[in-house]
Amino acid sequence: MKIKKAICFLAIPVLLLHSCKRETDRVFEENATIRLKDAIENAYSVLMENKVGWMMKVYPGLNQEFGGYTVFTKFISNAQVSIASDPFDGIQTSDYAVIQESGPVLTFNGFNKNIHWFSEPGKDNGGIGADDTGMRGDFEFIVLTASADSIVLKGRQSKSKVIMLPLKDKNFESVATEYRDAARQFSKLRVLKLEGKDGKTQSLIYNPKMRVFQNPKDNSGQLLSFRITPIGLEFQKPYEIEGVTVDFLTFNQPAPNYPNGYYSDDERTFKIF
Amino acid sequence: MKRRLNFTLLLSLFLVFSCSEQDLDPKSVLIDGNIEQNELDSYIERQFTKDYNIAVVYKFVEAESDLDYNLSPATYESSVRMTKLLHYLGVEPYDKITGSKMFIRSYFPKLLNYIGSPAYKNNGTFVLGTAEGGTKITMYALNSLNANTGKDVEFLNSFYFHTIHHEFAHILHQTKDYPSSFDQITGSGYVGDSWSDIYNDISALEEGFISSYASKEANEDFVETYSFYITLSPEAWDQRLRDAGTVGKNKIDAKLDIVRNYFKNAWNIDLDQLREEILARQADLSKFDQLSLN
Repeated sequence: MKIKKAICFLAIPVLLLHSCKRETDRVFEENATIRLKDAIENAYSVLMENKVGWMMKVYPGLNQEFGGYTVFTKFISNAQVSIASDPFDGIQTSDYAVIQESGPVLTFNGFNKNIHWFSEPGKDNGGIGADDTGMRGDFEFIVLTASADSIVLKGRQSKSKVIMLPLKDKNFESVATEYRDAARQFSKLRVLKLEGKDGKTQSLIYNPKMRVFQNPKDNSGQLLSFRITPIGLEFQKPYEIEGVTVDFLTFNQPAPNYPNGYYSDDERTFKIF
Repeated sequence: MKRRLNFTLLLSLFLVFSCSEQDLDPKSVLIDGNIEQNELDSYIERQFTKDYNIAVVYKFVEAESDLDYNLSPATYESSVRMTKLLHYLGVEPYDKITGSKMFIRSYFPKLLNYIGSPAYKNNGTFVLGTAEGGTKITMYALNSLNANTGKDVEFLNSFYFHTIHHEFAHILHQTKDYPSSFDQITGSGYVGDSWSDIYNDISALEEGFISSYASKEANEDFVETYSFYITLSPEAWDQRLRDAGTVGKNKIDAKLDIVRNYFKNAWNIDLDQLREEILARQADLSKFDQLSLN
């Protein structure tokens, strides 16, 4: 009996000491709020340190069903951003912020047609998409990574990934103008036609309000979603057309049979005009 | 005795080991960023927050918005116009009639939230304004406010100021209730959520409601009567009474008497003086600078 009691008296202090150990190894040096604050500060400095500006490839919607657009941004202070986009003329300056949510979130929180056009209701965007939801684009993005080379964003509503790339060689205004001119050139093509390798021509299923088309020869009905660049059409992912897998079609200058120019693969197996 | 000693020793051990002290981290977990303030921020701070303890959220904040709708932020220019108009048409008339800023400071909603687009529903209709718990008013469609619409009194009332006065009146009657005799005037005519199916503007007037929405319930009827009376010109008000016919007019007149007496007795506000002040300001809109923030 005495031995039992002695064991108890020895064991209890040992158990108490070890059961209440308060010092545990920390996974992170700083608490979550400090780390989030640092991530926000980093996002602000990366956005603003690039004095030339950024290019965003935007594919609004849940399945890129409205096509792709190019948006240019220049963050001129920690509250103001200048934005241009290829569907619209001019540059507009508006408010933005990087706010604290479950992670750092880049929000374009003041209206700017060049970015909010993609998220506006169809009633306000010229009738693209449903009256109440429009193209379902985003104007708030979770900042996944931010460095001088690229900023990876994730749309808060659509969950689509958007990559911002720094403009290096050309200034913000001139590069935005080049993209807008290319979009204007493309918009002259009210009807899209495909000239196949057999020389036969067929109309593509295409609505000029959107930047997608369907190849009637493709029975799957796949939507080919593209973006307009100054040198051609960039597809959102590789597609097969006329037996050729392409992710880019080069623009060729107007010719007698192609008064508005045409887009083709490297081997000119097919032409779109 | 021995057992008591053991128990005391055991208790002491628990107390010693369970209550060790830990130093507080001197860094707060709540950290504010240092964001550049613009002229509108300073104006809001000066004219709304300092004087009336009111916050104006003109930049889009998802947590303050209605997630059921696809919404766009307000433009900076429309936010400036609305903030200045709100002060001129929505706040200052009360200051002048009550003789101090305390009335608005005490009762006006504390948070005004601006949204650029209307809140479109999938049936083609849209929402222009909402209020929550007497503390917050959300105004939609601010991006329709520009140099032209900013001087269009009918537009301003139907898109913004009717809602503002309507919601403010809810706060007032929830603070001091109006006489129950108001409810009796068209007691069986209230139709709840079916108001838009049952009444149009003319049939509502004929039943004694100043608008179809007023037929929803007595509280809505009370604030609609108030809001229409102080924002409509005498000609527009009288036209509504003519459209109402004799039966409808008599009911609306009876309701207006109660509203008028209530504001006099409960708040010492002469409704006709307030109306005159608002209408005079509406008439001077063309001279009012909506963009200067000095």
